[in-house]
Amino acid sequence: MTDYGGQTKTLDEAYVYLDPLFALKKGGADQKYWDWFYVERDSQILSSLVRSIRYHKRPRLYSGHIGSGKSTELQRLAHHPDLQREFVVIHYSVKEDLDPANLDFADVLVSIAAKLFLAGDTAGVPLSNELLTKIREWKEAVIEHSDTLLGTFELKLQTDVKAFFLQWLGVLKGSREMKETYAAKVKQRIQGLIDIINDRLILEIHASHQLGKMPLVILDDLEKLSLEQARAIFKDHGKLLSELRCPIIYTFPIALEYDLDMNPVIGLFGEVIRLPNMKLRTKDGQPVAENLAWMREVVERRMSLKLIDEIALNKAIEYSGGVVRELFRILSIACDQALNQDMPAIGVPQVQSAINRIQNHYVYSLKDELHYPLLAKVYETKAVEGDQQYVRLMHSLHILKYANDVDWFDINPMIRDQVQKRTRTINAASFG
Amino acid sequence: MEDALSIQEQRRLEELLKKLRRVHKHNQACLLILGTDTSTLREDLATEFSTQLSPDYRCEAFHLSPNAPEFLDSLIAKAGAADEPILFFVTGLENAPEALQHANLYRNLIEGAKLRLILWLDESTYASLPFDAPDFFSYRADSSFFHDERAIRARIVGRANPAIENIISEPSQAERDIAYYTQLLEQELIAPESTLDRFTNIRAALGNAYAAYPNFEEALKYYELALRGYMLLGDDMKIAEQLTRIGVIYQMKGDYRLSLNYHQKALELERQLGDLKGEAATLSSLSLTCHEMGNPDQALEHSLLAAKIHQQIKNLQGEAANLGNIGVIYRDKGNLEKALHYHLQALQLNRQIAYIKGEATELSNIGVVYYEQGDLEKALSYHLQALALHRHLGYIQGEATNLVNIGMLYHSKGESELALNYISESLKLNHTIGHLKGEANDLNNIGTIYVGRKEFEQALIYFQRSLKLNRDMGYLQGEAMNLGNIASIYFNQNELSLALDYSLQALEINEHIGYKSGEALSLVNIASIYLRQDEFELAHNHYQRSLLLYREMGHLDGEANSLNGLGLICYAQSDLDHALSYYFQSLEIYRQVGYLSREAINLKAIGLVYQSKGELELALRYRLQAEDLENQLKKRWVKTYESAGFEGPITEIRFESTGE
Repeated sequence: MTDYGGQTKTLDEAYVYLDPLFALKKGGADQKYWDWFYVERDSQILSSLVRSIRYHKRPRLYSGHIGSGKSTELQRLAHHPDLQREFVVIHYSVKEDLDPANLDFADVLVSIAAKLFLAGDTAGVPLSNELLTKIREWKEAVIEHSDTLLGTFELKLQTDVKAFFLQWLGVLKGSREMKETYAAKVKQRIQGLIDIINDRLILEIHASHQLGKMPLVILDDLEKLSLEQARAIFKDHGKLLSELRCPIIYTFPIALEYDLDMNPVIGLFGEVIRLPNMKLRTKDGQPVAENLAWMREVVERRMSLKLIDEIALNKAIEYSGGVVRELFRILSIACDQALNQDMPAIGVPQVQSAINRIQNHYVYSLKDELHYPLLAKVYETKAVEGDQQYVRLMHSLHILKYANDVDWFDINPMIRDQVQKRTRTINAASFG
Repeated sequence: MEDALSIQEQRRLEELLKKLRRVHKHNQACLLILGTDTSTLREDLATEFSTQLSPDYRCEAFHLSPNAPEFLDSLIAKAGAADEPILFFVTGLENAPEALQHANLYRNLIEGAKLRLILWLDESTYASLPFDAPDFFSYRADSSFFHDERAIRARIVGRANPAIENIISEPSQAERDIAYYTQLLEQELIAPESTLDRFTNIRAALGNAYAAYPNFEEALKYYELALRGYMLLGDDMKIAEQLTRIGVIYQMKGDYRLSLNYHQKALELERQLGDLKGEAATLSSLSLTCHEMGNPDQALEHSLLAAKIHQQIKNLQGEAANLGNIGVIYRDKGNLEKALHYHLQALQLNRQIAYIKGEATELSNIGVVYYEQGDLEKALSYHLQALALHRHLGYIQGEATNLVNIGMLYHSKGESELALNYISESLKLNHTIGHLKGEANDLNNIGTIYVGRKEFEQALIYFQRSLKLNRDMGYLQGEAMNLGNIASIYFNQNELSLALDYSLQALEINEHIGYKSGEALSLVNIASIYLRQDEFELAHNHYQRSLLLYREMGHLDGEANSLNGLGLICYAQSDLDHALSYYFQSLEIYRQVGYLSREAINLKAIGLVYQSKGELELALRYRLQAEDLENQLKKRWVKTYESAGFEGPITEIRFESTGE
């Protein structure tokens, strides 16, 4: 058995690292956890992302299920040596840097402009007077009142513009009322800002002798918005977001890909790049050994496999449906149970009981009798249709998507038995 | 709290408390999402959390205001300002949709600030959370829904049966099914396109869910409603099916007389319809009822016919199950060779069709036969094989059954520590998966082991716990068994009037449900008590009644015990010739069935009679024979009986897994 640096040897220690709240972060104080626990995923996905960024140099949508490891992989992307060498990587989060509860498309674009400008400024790039003038003119057109906080900035020098953008980011994050005083005008003249970004900002950063690289913007956590918000940003204004002329990775809710209304917009971004769930079985039910091994390693790096019965571990992996966070939730509850019962290791009963517990809530939420026929259909056909109900069920992880050459879908293993049973009972009224 | 929560939910509560203590110990963040169906229950639970978790946490209520959605920020500020760990009880999310959105977006604040919070939700918010705030939901440490049992009881006030007083939750699957079908039924009530057909199907499904739960009264109620529905629809196949199901519930309750009636009605109908599949299923189940009632010949007849029909309709799994059941019947008749023959046949068939669960059942059954033959090594090896298969399948209920059987083997061997270990393990498993019947049985068996160790106080505690579970489930046969075992403790402590009282209660139940072997056992136990009270005539009557029952059932072992008891009465009254006559009858039977340890005790008793008669040479001869046999027994690892049935009531040990 391989010995890993952070591998825990008792359930009591393992408990902490099985917590689904425990997230891996690259860099900083938490780097050691990354080094201990991160298991490299199918490198093809990362390489095609890297390739797409390097060769297409355009905005792309990046989607995946909640808890499937998107943010973790984006961190890896941001630190990828090829990208670090060829791009100025600007990686930020809607949740941490903006106010996701009030986010609209204009905020996204303003934040991109601000982040680009600040990246150039921090690197010491002297930005041209033309650019500064354009920014000043645009600002004066949208924020004319000198009595507002942003309105008082004069924007003659690069340092003025820097202070202005910093302030604006602050407003976007924290001052909803203030934002609203000029939101309407910003939206009216948003094309002006896009032109500034495309015609000047990107080029000047690229051409500068200090940086000399094209910017790459990675915008994380956009998919965490509510479906309505995400729809408002992407459906109505996706065209604007797609017009920026540098590589931008917009995270995107996987469920919206299957919203028929979204089709034309998605087309603007070219093919959606997806982080699929770990496919534990093929479409026809054959186990996929390498992915199962990957899931095992994820566990083994955190805890000695002596702490869990072999069958119990396999069961936990199977029921995770390939969603990493779900795996940790199963193991964390099972670990809890084992500790409660003074067991030295996690056994099948604890895992089974954890699965039952999680199942409960999934099934509990399927109140609507409408859901079952839809789920049964997905289970049978391994496909979804562009119906709003499917979109909701995908957003809530009741339906999971898997991909290889051809995408396919399945219901979450947590609800499989229930779906099979219910469908049988209602339709045929025959009892097992 | 006890009256508000079902047993399962009380346990869940315990687990959550332990979890929060662990969170405190490791200084972790924790988001618990708890739903309740009444606000009273929410308040009670909150009080329970506050009391139980003090002094680890100070609990603080936080009501969300619709106008201030950024509640996580407020909580962080409060937690930061406090100098002790706080557990927040957050309420009001139902009316603060923006707060929900805030939570969905900022769930990482919970981890960053190491917040510990319980989010209390009402039923509909709890149900829709995975849709409304998937990201937040996905970050929960755990979520649980609690039903207010008091409210459930209030809704069913006026219903006659007291068994409903304590609804027990069981495997969560059944719990969910009940919730689901109940809802469906409610929806159906207001649905414009609702049909009797659908209604009835849902009711039948709800009956199934309650049967699995188990709540036998509710199961019966819905099955009967479904039965009426199918009658109106004129669906004869379904009518027969419901009749069988009702019969099965009565069987599960241990109420065999009614079970018999329903099975017979179903059978009649299925034969009219020419429904072979239904007939075979009913026959299998009917066979079990007859077996439990102590009519082995009828049981055998039904199982043989069922096996034949299954063979005819090419249902090999059904055939194998019935062959196994035939084995069980022969085993209980004392014909171990034939029992083995059928179990092996069933085993082979199960292997042929690769039905692993059936294979494991048969391995278990073979283990029990070897146990009966006194070959404990072989018995153990088969139980271990079955255990391995069940573990492989992840079939926990089966695993628990194997563990208890292995435990009882060690019990026979006199290794009570090992026995307790195994049965406790089984108890843990049954407890974890919520298999209440198994749990009640384990508790009873643990009590039996303590009786063997003469630790009567402990034994009593376990019997009482088992009794509570059996009563809650409405499992009458189990209740009678517990009552009898409690009586045996009072007997051992010489509390004869209490012992009599409990034995009579057990007898009454056994008579009522038509459980003959239980009835006979109660009679033997009551006779033993009268004997000790020197009430010879009463003792004699009871032994006689038990003798008749055992003979009717063809239960040789029991017959010999009754004869032995009659001999003891004669001996006590110095009627030595009659005593000898009974003892020789029982001796012959013990020799016939090969129960060596009992043979030894019987030989000793004969020696004593001869001694009293002054025939010392004969007395010595029988005593030597008895000692000889005892020495042989010591050398061999064979079945010995813990409690000599002649001196006091026999505690009833229950093996599990007797076919399907």
